[in-house]
Amino acid sequence: MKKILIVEDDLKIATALGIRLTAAGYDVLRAPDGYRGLQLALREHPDLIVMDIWMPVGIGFSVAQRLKRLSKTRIPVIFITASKLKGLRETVARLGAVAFFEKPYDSKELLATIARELGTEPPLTGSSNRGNEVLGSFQAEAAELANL
Amino acid sequence: MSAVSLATDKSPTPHLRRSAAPSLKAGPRFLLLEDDANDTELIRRALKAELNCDLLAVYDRDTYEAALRQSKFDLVLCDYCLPGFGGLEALAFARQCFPEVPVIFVSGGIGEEIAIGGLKAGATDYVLKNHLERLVRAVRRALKERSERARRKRAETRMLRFQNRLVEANKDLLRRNQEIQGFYHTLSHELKTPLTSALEFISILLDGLAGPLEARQREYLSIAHSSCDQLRLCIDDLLDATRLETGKMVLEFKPASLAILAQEIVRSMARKAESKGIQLALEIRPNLPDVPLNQHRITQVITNLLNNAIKYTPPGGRVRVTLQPHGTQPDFIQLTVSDTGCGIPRPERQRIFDRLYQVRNGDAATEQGIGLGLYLCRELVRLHGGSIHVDSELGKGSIFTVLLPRTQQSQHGNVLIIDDDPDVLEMLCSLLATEQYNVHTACDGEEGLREMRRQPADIVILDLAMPKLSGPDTLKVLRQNWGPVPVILHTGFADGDLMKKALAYSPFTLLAKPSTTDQILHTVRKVYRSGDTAIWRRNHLGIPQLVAN
Repeated sequence: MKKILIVEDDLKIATALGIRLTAAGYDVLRAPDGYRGLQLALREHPDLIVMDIWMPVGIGFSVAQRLKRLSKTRIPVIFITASKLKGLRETVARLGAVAFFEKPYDSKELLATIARELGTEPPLTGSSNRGNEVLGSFQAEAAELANL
Repeated sequence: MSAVSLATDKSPTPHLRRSAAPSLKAGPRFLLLEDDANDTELIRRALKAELNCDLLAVYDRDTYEAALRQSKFDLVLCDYCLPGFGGLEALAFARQCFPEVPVIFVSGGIGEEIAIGGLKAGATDYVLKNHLERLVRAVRRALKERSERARRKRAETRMLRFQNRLVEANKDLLRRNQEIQGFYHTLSHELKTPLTSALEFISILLDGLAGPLEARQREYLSIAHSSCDQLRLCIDDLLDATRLETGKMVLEFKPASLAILAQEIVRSMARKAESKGIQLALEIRPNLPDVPLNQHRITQVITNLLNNAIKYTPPGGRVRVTLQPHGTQPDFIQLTVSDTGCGIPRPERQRIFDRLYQVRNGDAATEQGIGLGLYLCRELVRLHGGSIHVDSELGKGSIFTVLLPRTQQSQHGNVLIIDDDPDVLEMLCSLLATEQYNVHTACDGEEGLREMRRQPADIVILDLAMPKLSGPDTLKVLRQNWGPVPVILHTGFADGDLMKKALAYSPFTLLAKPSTTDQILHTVRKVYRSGDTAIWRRNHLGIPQLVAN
């Protein structure tokens, strides 16, 4: 099973991404900020990273840069951001990232991009046989988020 | 030479300590340094005959210096040749006390050369004693000049104060602009993050990832999803409007088929029209050429117009999209979106393209957006070098007409850059080349003019300080030979004098050195598109002033 690391400080979005990716058949790791994202990436060697750009500790760009320097293998990175700041796209391209999604992102497109990059089958949408399993693993978390 | 007692006009007893403040009806106060009592009397008479003045006569160095130290004078008259005290020394001392005071030499044996020497040393004028009839005229002129100088100085001070205030205000605006930019960035982030999670969780539910849905659950979730989508569009509009307003919207154009674009959009809207019982038609003239456009933005424009048309047309109505070459302007393609809605009252027609303007009649009131749609349409079409307008008849419907140029005029223009700094040349050259301008360069004024003769440019970007032929001189020749060619002066403002010289050949546009690439592109684009450049003139202080834009 391919391993994907989600680095995102917004818990809700991270959870939503987690549900999607788990449902699509990936093993999901999560980190709430850039620093822990980098740590986890170096320890767990994920097959791909989906990362926010503006985060409290370590913005996505510097994480990607350090990862490039510190990791022995190249880990593809996909950036997602709510920012419309100019030049982001260029920076992302320069860092050699796989893709760049603006929030709100199109999850089908995101999944297709990930599948393409990892050489996996594009997930079937609405495949609910994994649905319950997914729901189970995120239930506690979703309940917690609902109380925020 | 005989000594006379120190005497003022008003009081026979010498009294140097009297106050400098003149009495109510007092005229100007003069100080006369003259060691000959007869001459003093002659001068006094000459002055008193025509001027209401207060004259203090002193006769030697000590009394002269004491007088100047103790009170204020509007004018100093002094003999040129005094024993032990030269006229030039007297002049220097007077100026030391009052830098602005006019000093007139009144002398018997003054030769032309000495007189000129005096003037060179800063004297205001000189009068020969055997031509005392000139004295009053000289005094009057000196006083007039002095008061004019004082007035000018006051105006200058005021002007500088205003200028400083403007500079401050400008800084303030820039800072605020930055704050606003930052604010919108934050706003965008803060609005989109929760929206993203709302949209995502709704679509996770819709995709059945949390278990199967009943039909009604699915329906309600779809409504929530489409509301979120609507919100997303609103936020995008808001951010677009901000970028347009701050000149940060930069579009890339690629040749594309408007026909295919229109077909796709009409197809995507078909269901919406159908569900409202509206007949949606598309008429396209065959063999239309591709036009340079930004697909994303033109899609936004057409979608917006169609959305409005469907929104304001009652069930059973018709919405029609046509695409054809413009009848009288062959350089433009014309796109129309017409409806059979309620129409737009005449006074509203122009204003509907204004930012935040909304038609407030019964029909529209129920369907309000945030009032940015048509504003964005107009601005986006304008960025394409096109135009938009509306025709309407109350109760019958409206026709929105968009004209888009077949060729992107703001590109492929000839730009000549004249600058002696090879780095600047290279930077500008590569920057403008990415925007598809034809760029020519020259490293001094002479070469620039040769280049201009070889191929006249549509815009000239000109440095001010250059060897061989300076910026202003080059500009002069440009104006003589190529008249109103738009000129962008690219200057660090370090060369105040050159700037002043250049102002004689206004209009031109100023581009500060150094500028960001955005500023450069924006300026060039603006100058190229509108052709008219800001008119700068030099005010009486030599400070560049924007007269018209």
